[in-house]
Amino acid sequence: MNAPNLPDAFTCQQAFALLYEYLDKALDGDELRLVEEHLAICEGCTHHFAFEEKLLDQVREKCRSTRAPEGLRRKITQLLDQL
Amino acid sequence: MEERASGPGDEAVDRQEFERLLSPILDNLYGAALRMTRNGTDAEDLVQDTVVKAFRFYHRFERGTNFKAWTLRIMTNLFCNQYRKTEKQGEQVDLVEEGDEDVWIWAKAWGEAGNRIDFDPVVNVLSKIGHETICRAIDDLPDEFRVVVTLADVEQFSYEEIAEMVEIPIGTVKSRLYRGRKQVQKCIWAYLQEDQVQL
Repeated sequence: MNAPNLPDAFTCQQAFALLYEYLDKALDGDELRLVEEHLAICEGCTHHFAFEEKLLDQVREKCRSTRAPEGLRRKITQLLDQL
Repeated sequence: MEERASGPGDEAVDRQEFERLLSPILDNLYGAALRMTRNGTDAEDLVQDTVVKAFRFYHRFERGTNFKAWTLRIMTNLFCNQYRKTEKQGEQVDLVEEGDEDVWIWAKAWGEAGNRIDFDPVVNVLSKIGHETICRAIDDLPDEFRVVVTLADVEQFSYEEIAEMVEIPIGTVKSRLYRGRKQVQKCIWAYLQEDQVQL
């Protein structure tokens, strides 16, 4: 039996409301199970969730491609020499 | 807790150890600083200030724990307290509200798809979103949203870690992340349209 404020099964809207907590692995217990059960039977939501996950992956990958300027490493070494 | 007074030999060991931990994360620190400050000069200053503070307090770092998280916490604190400038003119972005549902790239992409049977949002849209577009979209966020999105989406910290680093409740982390991410999607789509990217 679920927690009193939870239904027996999620609608697309209810599952989508927890999209980011699901993708951020911040869900557990009944809410996680209800989202997973919904995704298991709803192809539309499965595709949408997968897209949102890929979008987050893309954001991370593109932002992480930034490299510190070479001069910065030198400046830091000099800074630490002075401390 | 009584702190052990450091002796003359300790400093050299500490410095070596500190630099060994710092070197592999310097790109992360710079990348995060760049997203927070939005310009290279300030980002370099923020990284340097962070390194100085982190080295000064290195004796408080618990060996074996997450050095990157510890250092980024220092950086976040410095940014929030010293680097945040008053919002620039014209920076009053029309930030999405929690209930705004027409900003999702997914929905907009399918709206553009029309009758195309071969349309795939991953191939037709996602692959067209480049580094510059993403950075612009994040940089457009107001400070408090940009910091949380950077910590979550670039550095993958948990809600709890972000709450601790930014000193806000977890509920506020979730709310800022939710609205910030939707705003990023809204901006990305706007830039794709502006740049007339063929989907």
